[in-house]
Formats: sequence, C-alpha cells, structure tokens
Amino acid sequence: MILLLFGINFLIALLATMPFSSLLNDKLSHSFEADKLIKGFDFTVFSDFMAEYGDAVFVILGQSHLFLMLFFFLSIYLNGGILEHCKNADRKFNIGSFINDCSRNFWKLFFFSITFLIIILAIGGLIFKIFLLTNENGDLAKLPSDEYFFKRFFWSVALFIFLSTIIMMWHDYAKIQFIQQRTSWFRTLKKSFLLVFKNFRKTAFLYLLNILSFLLLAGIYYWISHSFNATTTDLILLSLILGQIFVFGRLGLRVLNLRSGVLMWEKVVKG
Amino acid sequence: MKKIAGIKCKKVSINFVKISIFLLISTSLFAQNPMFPTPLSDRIASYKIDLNLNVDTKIFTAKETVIWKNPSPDTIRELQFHLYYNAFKNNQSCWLSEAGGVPQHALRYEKDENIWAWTEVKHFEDELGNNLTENIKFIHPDDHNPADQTVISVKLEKPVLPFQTDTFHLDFDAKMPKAMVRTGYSANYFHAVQWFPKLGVYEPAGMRCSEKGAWNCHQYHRSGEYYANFGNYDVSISLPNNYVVGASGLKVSETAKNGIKKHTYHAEDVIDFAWSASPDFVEIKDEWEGIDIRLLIHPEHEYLAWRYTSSLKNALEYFDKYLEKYPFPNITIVVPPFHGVYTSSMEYPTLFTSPAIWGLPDGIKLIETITIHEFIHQYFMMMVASNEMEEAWLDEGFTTYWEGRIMDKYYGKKTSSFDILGFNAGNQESTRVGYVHVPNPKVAPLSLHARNFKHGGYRFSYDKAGVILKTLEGMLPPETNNEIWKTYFARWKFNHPCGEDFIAIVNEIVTKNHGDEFGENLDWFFDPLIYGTEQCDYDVAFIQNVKVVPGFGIFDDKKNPVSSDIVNEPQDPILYNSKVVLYRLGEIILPQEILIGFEDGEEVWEYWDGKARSFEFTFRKDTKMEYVIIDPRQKNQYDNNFINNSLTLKPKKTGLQKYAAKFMMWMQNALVTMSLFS
Repeated sequence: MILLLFGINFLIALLATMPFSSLLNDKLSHSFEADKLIKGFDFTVFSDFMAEYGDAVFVILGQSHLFLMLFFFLSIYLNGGILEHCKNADRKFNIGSFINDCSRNFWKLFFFSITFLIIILAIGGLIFKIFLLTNENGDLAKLPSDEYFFKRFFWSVALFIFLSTIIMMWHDYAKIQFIQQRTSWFRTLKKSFLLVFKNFRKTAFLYLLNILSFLLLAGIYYWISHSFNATTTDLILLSLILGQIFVFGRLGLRVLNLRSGVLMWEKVVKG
Repeated sequence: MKKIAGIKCKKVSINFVKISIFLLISTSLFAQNPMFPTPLSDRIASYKIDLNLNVDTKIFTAKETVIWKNPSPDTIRELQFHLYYNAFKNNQSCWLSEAGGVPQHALRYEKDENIWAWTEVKHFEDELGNNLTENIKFIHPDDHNPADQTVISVKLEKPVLPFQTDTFHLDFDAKMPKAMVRTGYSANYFHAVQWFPKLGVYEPAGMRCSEKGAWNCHQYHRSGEYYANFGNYDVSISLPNNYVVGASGLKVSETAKNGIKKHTYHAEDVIDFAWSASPDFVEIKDEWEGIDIRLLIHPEHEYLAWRYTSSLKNALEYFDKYLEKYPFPNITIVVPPFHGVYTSSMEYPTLFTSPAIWGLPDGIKLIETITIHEFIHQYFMMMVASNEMEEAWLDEGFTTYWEGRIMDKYYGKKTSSFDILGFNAGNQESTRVGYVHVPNPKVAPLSLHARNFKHGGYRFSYDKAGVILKTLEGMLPPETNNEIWKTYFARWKFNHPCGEDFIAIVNEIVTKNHGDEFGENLDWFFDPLIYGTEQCDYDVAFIQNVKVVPGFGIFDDKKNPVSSDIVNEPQDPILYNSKVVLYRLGEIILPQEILIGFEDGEEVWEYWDGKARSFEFTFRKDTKMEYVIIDPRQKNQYDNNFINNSLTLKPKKTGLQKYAAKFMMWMQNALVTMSLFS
C-alpha cells in the first residue's frame, strides 16, 4: 500500500520534473554556466536563465500546480482504500478490492476534506482578524514597536498551527469514523469531534507521537543530506536515493498515522 | 534734515549697528572652534538657523540668516530658494502628482492627523533692513505647474555685486509632513531634512558645463534629489528636553530652560543640514581612527547595533585605502523606528539614516548594504557635490559601484546581498541583474535629467551606472582604475563636477598610463553607455571541427587521379581544421578576451575587438576544439546574458542533474504535504 502511494508520488513528480530537466539540458548544458550550479545556487545563472527562458519555466510551474491538485485528489481517493484495509486488517491485500473501496468512498471523503479545509481557513481568518483588531490594525505607529508586532504575529501563527493540527487530527478521526460506521456527514463530524475531545489526552498524545516521528525522520534526513555536497553524478544519485527514502518514510508515517488512529478509534468506541 | 531723510538716516544707522553686531557675533561664532583651520570649500552659502519645534502640532518656527557669496562676475538681482516641504502641501504639487498621488502609508492617517507639510516665509529682509517679503513669488522653472510651490524667487532691492557677499534674514514657519518620503514625523519620532528655505545654486558660465550664468534651482520632483553650495551651518534646535537629538556637524552646546532643551550644532563645508529627534533614541558611541561614530537607534533594534557600526567601519577603512580618509571628525547614523521607515536610507552631511527591522536575519545584508551605501554618499555627493537632479548617475551610480566593491570584499562575492536557506547572491551580481533583466533596459539613457525618467528609468542611475563602472573596472588594469577614482575625488572634492569632468579624468589617466592602447580616448566607451540605450550581448554561435583530408582528384598526372580512398587511409598525425564563430548580438561594442580549449587540454587566449557582427578564429591542430568562452573572467558586466558567452561540445550535465534532482525532491515533498489536507 505504501509502495503504491510512493509509486504514484514518484510518477507524478517525475512527470513534472521531466520537462524541467529537458529545458535545463536543452538550454544550459552546452554552456559553462551550468558548471556553476554544481557547488550550489548561483544567482547570476538563475537570473540569466530566467530572463531568457522564464516563460517556459512558468509554464512548467503552472503544470506542477495541476500535478499538486491531482495528487491531492488521488490522496483522498486512496485514503478510502487505506482506511477500509485498516478496518479489515486481517483481510489479505487485494488490489481489486482496494480500488473498489477507494471508488466507493471517494466523494464522501472529498466532502469531508473540503469541510475541514474550510474550517481551517475560517480559523485562520478569525485568528488573523483578532490579531489585527488587537494590534491597531497593523498600524505600527500606534504600537510600541515592530518587535511587539512581530512577536504577537508569531504567536498568532503558532496558535494557528496548533489549532490547525488539532483540526487535522479531528479530520483523520472523521474519516475513520465514516469508514467504520458509515454515519452521515453531520453525525460523522459530531461523533469524531466528541471522540477526539473526550479522549483528548490519548488522541493528542498519539498525534504528537506521529509528529515527533516525522520530525525525527526529517532531522535525520537533513543531517545526512547536508553532510556532503552533491558535486558528482554519484553523489547526486546518492542524494536522490536519500530523498526517496525520506519521501517513502513520510508516506509510511502517514499510513501509520491513519492505522494508529483506527486502532485508537477501535479501543475507544469498541472498548 | 527733512523728516524722511532723518528717518532714513536713523534707519541706516540702526542697520549699521545691527550689521556690525551681527558680523561680530557671526565672526566670533565661526571663529570659535573651527573644524578646519583652512576651509575645505568655497563656502558660498552659509546658514544660521534657530528653530523651535512644537512636537504636538509638528510646526516649527525659525529664524534663518543666509550669508551668500556671489561666485560669478554677474550682478545678481534675485535669489532663488527651495521650499522642499511644499512638495507635501497638497496632491497637486509636482512631487505628489508625479508620484501618482499621496502615498497610501501616509494618506490613511489623513482623517486623524494633519499629514501635510508646508513652509511659509513670513519675513524676508536683506542686510540693509529692506523688507523683501512682498518680493517673494513662486516660480516653476521645470513644468509650469502653478500648484507647485517648491521654488521661490526673491527680487532684491540691492543687487549682489560680482563676488560680493551679502546677508539675508528670514523668518519662516514650517509644518512637518507625516513621514512619507525621506522626511517627516511618525508618532514621537521626527526627522527633518530639506526643512529650511535653501538657496539654489547660482552657476556662473563655465561652472559644471554651464554656458552662461544662471540659477540652478529645480522644483522638487518625484525622481531626483538635491543640489546645493557648500557652506557653514550653525543650527539651534529647541524642543522638549526628553528628546535625544542627532544632527549634521558637531554639537557645540546644549542648554535647558523651562522644560525645553536647545541643541546647537556647527558644521563646516557641507551642502545641507539634517536633524532627527526622538525621546526613545538609544545612543551608542564608537570610533574609528579618531572619527567619532554615533548611532541613534530605538531599543527594540539595539541588538542590531553591531551591524551598523561594523559595516560603517569597513567602509571607512576601505575608503581610507582607496580614496582618502573621511575628513570630518564624526559621523552619525540614525536608525528610525519601523513606523518611520520611510525616512530611512538617505544621506546628509555627516549623518545618514539606515533601516531596521526586528528579527532581520544576519544572512540578509540589508543593514550592511544600506549603511555602506549611505556612507559612500558622504563622498559622492556630500563632498563631490554633483547635481543629483540633472545627473543622478554621478552620485547614485558611483555609490552603487563602490557599494559593490566594499560589500563583496567584506561579505563575499556571492553572499554579500543575501545568504539564507541555501539561496545566496552577491552585491555586484545583484546590481547587474537589477539592470540587465529589467523589462525594458532601453527605457531611457543614463544622461537624462532625473525628473524626466519615466517607468522605472530612474533606477538606472543606480544599477546601470554601477554596471557600467564595473565594466570599466574590468577593462582597465586595477592600478589605472584606482588612480582614476583617486584623481577624480582629489580634484573635485568640495566642488561641483559634471559627468564630462569624470570622463575627462578617465581619458587623462588612461592616456597617461596606456597611450592609445584603448584608442584616442574612451569616448567610444562612454558615449553609447551613458548617452545611449543600446544593449550588449556576445554569443558563441558554433564550433566546428573538420578532419583535414588528403587531397584526391587530378593533380599533376591527369591520367592517374588520386582516388578518394586515400581519405580512409590512416593519417599520422590526424589534423583538424577547427573554427569557432562569435556573434555580436547587441549594439554595444566592447573588446573581449576569448578562451579557447582543445580536447588535449591545451588552452589558447585570444583577443577580439568585439566590433564585427560575426567573427571567427580558426586553428589547424592535431586535436579538436572543445570549448570557447567569451570573457571568461566576466569583466564585461554589461553583457546581458552570460549563458551564451560559452559553448562546449561536451555537455556539462552534473550541475543540471543536481537541480533536476532537487526539483524532483521538492515536487515529491510538496505532493506529500498536499496529501496532509486530504
């Protein structure tokens, strides 16, 4: 299942990268300026390249946005199959059943995703509005200093991230609730909300554990990948492989997150 | 004696006494602790100003005495003054209408505060006591905009004779604007620049390329800055005693009475006087080689202080080495609070402003860049006082060029602009990018009057001029280039050059050191770059290697032609005719160094004068030509595309693979992050 997710991720990213790579090779490979990119970012090369071929780059970036949206929808689609598989963990994985489960649950899960996106955006808007109202609408002349303003801003962002994380946790349990009991939209939201907040210590702790796992993985990846400079083809390949391991790990953690959520749900609901 | 005559006599005798007392005081003042035993400049326009600021109404009342020396053989019958504050009197002024309206960051306060500014000369008299107030009229030498009141003409009752010095007294009130452009107040922070009625410059025939004697006193425009004579300033600033004040020159006294403190400053051989005040300023003192450094900064930015002082010292040290040691005894840096940021990043004699943003990372070198840039202005144009309105490139471009030299030396050629999260850029390379990649690099020639720049052209005074000077540096040996700058500064400090004066020095030094190696003069370099709008782009079009084949066909023996099979016979050695074709795609012609590399590792340096539209180099060798690089040391910063300056037959893939892999990684992680919301 994780392999399937990874495979789709890899393929979509490859589809987005290939035109970019072709553009680079076609326009830059016969120039010595390309060598300057070996050590790292070069502002002059970047600027000259964008000045000459920026239009093509923006077309590729535009296409990349489409790929992002595609993966977003694919993730929703695949979540259905993953959660059904978690529900029937004893059942052997079968690609046909998996696809059926994905298709069956797609629209409901899609609506849940939109719902929770709206909730997150609404919370973000509310926090931002409160921030402005309590900080003279950003009029620094009426505030003690920019330090005062920025510190309050950072706290507001931190609050937003904290609340968004809780909403995302609630979203996960909503998906699990729906797959487990096929409740209606409203009942799913209500039951999952009550589950999360009546057992907040447990659900939050589990979610925090997942976040910490991700941070650990990211830290290890960062440390290893920055311990060498990819200046030869072999090292570039090594860097790419490390990157794939990191992506695989992230996807694995995501699936693990959902699986642990299902177990938590079963423990709380079924006892 | 008739009554009228009696009054006249009495008036003359009273005026005589006034004049005598004034001369006595002013002489004693100017003689008291002179900064320079020998004046550094001609001291054409000196000022004594006494002002009182009401911090609530933002209005100050002031008395001003102007001592003006007629520098010409002309008899002067009028004086022209700048009243810069009137540019912010209403939205019909030259400045605000050219800017497209009042800046939003000031306009949004209009309902709560009086954001506008004005200067009103309430009384004007000459040294004989003639009241000239009624002789004041607004004039519009540039655009005939009747709503603009930034220049006044004062017709004199007693003309100023050739080379004579006369004194004039003004009473004026001025209202400071909400900080919108370089000057103004914000909360309890005040920054006063171009705040007093300031004389224009009377340019005699021959001064700064002028053909006849005339006043040079432009209206205040959106693009372009200032121009004034050198002189001495004695300024007293009275405001509540909890205010910390910073100003041009040296503080000579401070007296307090009834909750008001009077700060008196004295500056010599300067072209302007600025001051700043806030009760929240923290004062930090430092010094470099006997020059006092004073930093006025707000408490929340105090932790950044070291960045201002260290970068200033770097600039002081660099100029001491390459030009001349900074001649004044002190320098003040004013760092406005963030809400006063629109007054930052400007230069005045012995004082300049630099911005601060709390939390600014060390990797973003904004503070260092602006501090060094504004300090360089102490040389160009606080000392070499070119006309910023008419030839903005002479100070902004020169400053940008030196900023690149200093920043790249002390903060790294590739990191002196920013170095953060794996992205970096150098100062000089940012300047180049800032010019060559504008949407329309042909929008205006550099020589345009600043007020006539449209649609982003004013920025050329900085970036384009900086790139041109860097290209000049690349073209000349370092010793010659440095000698040019040293000579220019030494010859024109405390004076008013024009662009031709700088070019004349370049021609002089280059010819002296190199004869006609660069041509009869360097006008071929400056004319298109300063006065034209053309671009520069050199390109390696293609490389061709053709194996040399033995001859076949009929030679001496008509009956026995040499068969083409001879081509297939082993050759020893195998020779190649190699050719590289270079193109000049742009209109600008600049000589180029060419580096040609062969497969066996041999490298050949060639020289191309860069004139022809296409040019070739040919070789016959036992190895193939592999690569060609035009200007491998990238001395020609004016070339707008370095990518086509080189061509290699063996593709350089490693760097590209790295970035393709990075792109792939970014994409994959972005996809995973998106899925978190699913």
